[in-house]
Amino acid sequence: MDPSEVEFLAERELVKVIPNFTHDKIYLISGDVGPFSAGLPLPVPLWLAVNLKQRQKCRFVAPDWMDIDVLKEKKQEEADSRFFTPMPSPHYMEITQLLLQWGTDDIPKADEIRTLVKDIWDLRIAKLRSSIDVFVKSGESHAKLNYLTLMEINTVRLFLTKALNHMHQLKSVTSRDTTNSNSQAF
Amino acid sequence: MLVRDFKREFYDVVQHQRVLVLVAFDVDSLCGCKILQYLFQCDQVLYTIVPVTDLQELEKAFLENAEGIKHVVLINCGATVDIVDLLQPEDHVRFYICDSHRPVDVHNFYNAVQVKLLMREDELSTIPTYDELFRDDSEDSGNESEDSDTGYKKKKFDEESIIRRQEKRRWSENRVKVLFDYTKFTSYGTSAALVMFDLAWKLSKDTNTLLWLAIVGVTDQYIHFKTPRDKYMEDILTLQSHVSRHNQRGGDNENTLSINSLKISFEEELNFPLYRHWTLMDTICHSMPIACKLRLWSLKGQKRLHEFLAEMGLPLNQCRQQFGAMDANLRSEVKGKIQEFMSKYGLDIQDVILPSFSLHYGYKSQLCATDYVLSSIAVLESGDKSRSSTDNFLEACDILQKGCTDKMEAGLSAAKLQLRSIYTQVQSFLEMHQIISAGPFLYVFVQEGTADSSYFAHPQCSIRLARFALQAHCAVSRNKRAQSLPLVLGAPLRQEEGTSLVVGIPPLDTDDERKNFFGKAFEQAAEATNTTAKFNNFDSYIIEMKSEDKSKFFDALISILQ
Amino acid sequence: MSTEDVGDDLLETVDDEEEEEAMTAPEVLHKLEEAWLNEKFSPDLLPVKSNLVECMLDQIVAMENNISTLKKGDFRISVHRMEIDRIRYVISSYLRHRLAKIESLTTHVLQEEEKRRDSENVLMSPAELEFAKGYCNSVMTHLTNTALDHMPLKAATPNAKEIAVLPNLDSYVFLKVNENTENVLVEEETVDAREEIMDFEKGDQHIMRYKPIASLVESGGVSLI
Repeated sequence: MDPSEVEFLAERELVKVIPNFTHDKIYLISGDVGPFSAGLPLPVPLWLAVNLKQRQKCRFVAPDWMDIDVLKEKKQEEADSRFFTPMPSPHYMEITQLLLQWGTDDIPKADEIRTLVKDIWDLRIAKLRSSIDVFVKSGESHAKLNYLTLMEINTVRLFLTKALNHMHQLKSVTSRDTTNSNSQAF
Repeated sequence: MLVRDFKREFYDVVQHQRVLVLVAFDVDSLCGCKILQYLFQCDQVLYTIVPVTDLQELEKAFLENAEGIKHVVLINCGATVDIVDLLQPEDHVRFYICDSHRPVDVHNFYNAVQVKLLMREDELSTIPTYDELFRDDSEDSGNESEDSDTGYKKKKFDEESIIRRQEKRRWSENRVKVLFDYTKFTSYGTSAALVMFDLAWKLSKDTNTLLWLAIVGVTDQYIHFKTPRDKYMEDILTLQSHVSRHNQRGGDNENTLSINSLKISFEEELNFPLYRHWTLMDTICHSMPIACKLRLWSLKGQKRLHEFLAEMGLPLNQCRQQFGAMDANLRSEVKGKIQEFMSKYGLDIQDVILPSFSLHYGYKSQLCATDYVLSSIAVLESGDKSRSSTDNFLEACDILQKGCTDKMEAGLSAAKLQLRSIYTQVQSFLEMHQIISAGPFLYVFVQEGTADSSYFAHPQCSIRLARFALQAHCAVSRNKRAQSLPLVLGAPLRQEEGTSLVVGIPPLDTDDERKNFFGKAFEQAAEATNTTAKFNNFDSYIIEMKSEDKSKFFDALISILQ
Repeated sequence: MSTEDVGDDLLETVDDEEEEEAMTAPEVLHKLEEAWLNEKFSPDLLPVKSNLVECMLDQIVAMENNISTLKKGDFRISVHRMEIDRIRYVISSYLRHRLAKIESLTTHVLQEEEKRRDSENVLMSPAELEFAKGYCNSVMTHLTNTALDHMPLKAATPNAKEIAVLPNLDSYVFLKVNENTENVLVEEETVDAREEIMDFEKGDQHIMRYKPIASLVESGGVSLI
């Protein structure tokens, strides 16, 4: 899957914005949004938030987890744990990316946040790589991937599925060969 | 008609239809256009932008794009001509003119339906009153029919009509005089970019990016000698309040702003062109006031410069380094040292310091407003013949885009080339004594076939060359009157057609006004000699004419200005 | 899989369809997005979700009618437009993925459709079926005209079964569990390994071969990610 499609899915997530205009509820197909009243924060889908921001119609409110202390704690937890820990949002990377790209000045301590989120990402990707190594070497036929986010899965998708497909093919050919040779022996 | 409420009478009106935006070729217009473009993008207004270099192109662009267009925005063009008369638009077309050229044509001002002026009210106070210019319709038409009837109808010499006739004659004499006084001088009002920024502010869509564009627009006006220093300072003050509004956050939150966001700060900048991207030596040589006061084109001048540098304690090898690569201690001292020793070399504070703004963005070094102006104008008026003017326009647009660092670099080196060629041209003017006094004015011609003559075929660059030449001439001339003489500069335009660009700039002693009378003078000289000069440019003091008509034209000009 | 299981599956899907009647637009959209991703990642063609697509298309038409009644320059226009564009993207991507699969697995999907003829849970929509048949014919004619006609008689009679391209059902997929399911057969018994069985818990994510969970994808018990 193209990363932009993962982003597309992430854009469905709700984020809070403070609009600078007042408007009644908007009845979208994907659910109602609003009512907007200037200065009062409300949740809207990320795609709408970005669009409003681009048109200077709102300010972003950083999600609760987009905070230096929360992220530092998260980073520590991730570093301490052998397994993947649950993330505050299933699309944490995409949301951070989009919010910081379009509203750097709305997010307090944007640079530190960017660094922390990237740190967490790096930790998790490193973990992912090493567990893939273990998984492939073990020859197991399935694995549980709880708490991995879609973006993270997507980075290894092509490589991992292709590799496993090949391995499976090789395995099934060898097992067929053995049955074949068995039957010949009879 | 003057628009008082920009939002209600202009912005809200044009919003839901396609808008045609015609933009002149200078940095201020570019900035104004970009601000408007941003607003249109915010509100999803459909627009077409067409850059135009002169009136002829303006006409062409309008004809080509007028279909279905109801609203036309003109940026830095069109105010000084009767736009309705020029373009012959359909009745439903509305023109919104945001133009810093003055004086505004009276027809534009008094056309209440089709022409809307986006300007500051206080700048249009000198316009003659309606009664002085136009008479009551019925009377007018009556008079006209009378005039046309004179051929075959018996005139009635009754007393009443004589009185009316006399009164009418007095009125039209007065009209001519009032109009002449009004149009005698051309000057500039508030920058289009600043006007557009005000609009953005009123729509509460002003951002740091837009503010920066406004700053660049205002700086452009000053750098190209369009507005006097007082006006510049006034605008800078206005801008400064916006800058502090946008760039100051509560004390302890100072460092919360991301490094990737734009930051603008007010600064007492060194008035050296591109000094952050050049060597100190080069930038001093190409700074107009210093080059003229120290006469850097002569050997003696160079010696004086070395002396100056030595006294400031700046080693030559450091001065020949890229400014950014200079010893950090020395670099930080440069500004202070120059101010300390400048008076000994006859330099004023105004020669070396320019109150301006600088821009910080990312980890790259900061850029100042003049850097932006010089690099965009160099690209806009690039001598490269292989590229169309629209290409140049778009390229210059990119320079003003945040984050286009490579385009900016290219622009900076183009600007250096332009500054160099201006300097060498001035040097050769002086060495060959080509600046000649014609009595009431000075004149100088760029010889055909000169290496960089293609640069001077562009209006903004030729203005800078003319100004540099005039200032340099005044610095060397023993003639006390030099200060009070204007200068006319001719430069080859299109050699195959044998045309020249002629620019007239006002004398130095009227520098605090920066009013230019050459527009009217050129017009009269052309009339007197039947020269086919083209008054195509948006600045009336820049004209185009056949090179062979030059001597005839100048003779007429001398007699007019005497 | 026993026959009872199949029966259950069928019942469930029928239930599903009945539920859809009462679903709200956001729910339909969500289902559609899920179907889109399933289609995107599964190696085989999944039963078509015509009702979801049609429902969304109806919504879009209704919304477009609403938009046209709005005054020019209304703030809502652009917002609705953008949402419509997003939904359109999902729909067209969904249909495109299906068409791509129909093209590559033509014979296989036609055979599958044949098997399912009696059940209500059709594989392809009438339009898709028509496309598949047309495509199949075109390919055959093309092959006949360009190559087969010039071959010895024996080789020149293609057998649909022989030339069918089959989906690689053993390919690995990522999935997310929607409903608790017990005793999922992960690996069949082979000569040198015992069969593997495990329980799915709601919210779990797994990577495994498609074949064992194919029926769960169809029933909605898991979705591919």
